[in-house]
Amino acid sequence: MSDALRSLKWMEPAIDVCRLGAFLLFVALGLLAAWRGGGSEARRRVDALLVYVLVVTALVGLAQQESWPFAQWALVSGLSPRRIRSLEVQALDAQGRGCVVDLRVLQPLSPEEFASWLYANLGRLKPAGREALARFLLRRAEEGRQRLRRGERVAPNQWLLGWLTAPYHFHDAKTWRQPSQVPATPFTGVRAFFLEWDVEERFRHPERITRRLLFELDGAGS
Amino acid sequence: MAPAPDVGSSAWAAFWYRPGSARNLAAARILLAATALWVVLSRADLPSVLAFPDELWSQVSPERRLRFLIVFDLSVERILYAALHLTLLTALLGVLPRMSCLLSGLLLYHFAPFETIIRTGNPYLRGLTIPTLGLLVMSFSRSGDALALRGGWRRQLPPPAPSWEYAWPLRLVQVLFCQIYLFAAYSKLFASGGSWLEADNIRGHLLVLNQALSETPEASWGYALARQPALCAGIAWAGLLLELAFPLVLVSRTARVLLLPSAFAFHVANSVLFRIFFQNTPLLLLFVDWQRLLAGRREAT
Repeated sequence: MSDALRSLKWMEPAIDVCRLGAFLLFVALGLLAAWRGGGSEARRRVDALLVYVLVVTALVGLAQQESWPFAQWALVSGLSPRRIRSLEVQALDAQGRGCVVDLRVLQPLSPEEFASWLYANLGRLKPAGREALARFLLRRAEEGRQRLRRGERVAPNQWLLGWLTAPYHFHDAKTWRQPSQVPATPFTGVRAFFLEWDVEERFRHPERITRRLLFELDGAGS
Repeated sequence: MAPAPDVGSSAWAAFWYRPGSARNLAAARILLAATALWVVLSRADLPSVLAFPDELWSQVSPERRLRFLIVFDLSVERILYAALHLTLLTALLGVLPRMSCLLSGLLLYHFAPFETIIRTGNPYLRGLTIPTLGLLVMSFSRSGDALALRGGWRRQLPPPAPSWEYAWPLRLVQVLFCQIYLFAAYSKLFASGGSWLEADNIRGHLLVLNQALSETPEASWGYALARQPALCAGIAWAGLLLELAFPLVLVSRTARVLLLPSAFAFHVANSVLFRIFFQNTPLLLLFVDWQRLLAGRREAT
């Protein structure tokens, strides 16, 4: 059933409006329940709110189709894949030397969100779009490099709470820890790769990873 | 306060309307606002996603923008985001509690999707789902009758008498929280069937998540566990049983004593072994009887 519903992708815009309706009805019923009134009348309004929330959350949970903030709560529900991929971004200095970028520089966007988007949309990106993304990555990497060289935190999210910052759902790899990990001179280019590997094979042979270049922007900015 | 109707003898009435404590409801308001504020303070300049390259926004339909009212420019969004910090703080402190909770809930509904909107309008794993719903429920109720700057904190008023009006909102938020575990278990069986429980599947998840998210997966606890098939199978069964059993905390004090610490340990283990973090772990405290705890401490002193 879930697959059948997902195949109706063309209906997604209309479904989004319905989801807005489901949320607004929740708020409306809540405000009605909050209205001062007699005991049994007040209870009837609260009953309506409770029944509505239970029905909507049951439908969402059982059908495993979101209507956020009513969530289906699928958590690590699939079977583990044999092969996986992850995003690696290398920034280049003026001499063309590569430096693996700490993807926390993308915050407030999480690295896995950006990587998932890239995987789903890379095929439809035109050259100008790839260049715009590359420039965006280069700017973010350079800002991160400058922060690290100044002795500040690489992750923008840590601006106030430091190590007490709420992590994303998936813990990020903390690639940059010391200023010596980045060059003293500005980054001038960038390359993005998907790293791909067989899970069991990498368990036995950690070096068995293939790199697929997605796009690059060289030091001259082309 | 509305006159007290008969609680009634039905299971429905007994569950939702058995008189509850104003302090417990107020504690829920504080927990929800504090959790949301923690997450919001941990997302630097969230509105700046609007200024990301147009390509990233190319798959966001006008209907999806409308769904979350993402129609303002960056400067307006930054003002609204600052306002969210303020309303969460006032909700936490109990200043104009209903209005603060209502505005917080609506602003959270608007801003939480910013984290995922380029890919999906479903930010359910970002820590703001229960606070969004919960703070709206708090705004529909008398959650400011205790533990609020305008009341008990300033003048040390005695807490109001237990009432059905303090019961149902807390029960509703607790039910919403329990659904996380129940539907997490259901989704595993729905998507993968009994195969999800096999040791190889858990081992695979341990390897995948540590390979993808650790700098040195070989040195991770997840890798160490992946080498023990019996432990992998044990973890699968223990995790699924905990998720299925968790809703018992709604009806059993014994279940609370057993399952709340177990759930805490479960989230710590998920974080260490699977590198999965659950931002709503502090909301396990929604099930603590604060009224009883505070009264007990007062008697002891």
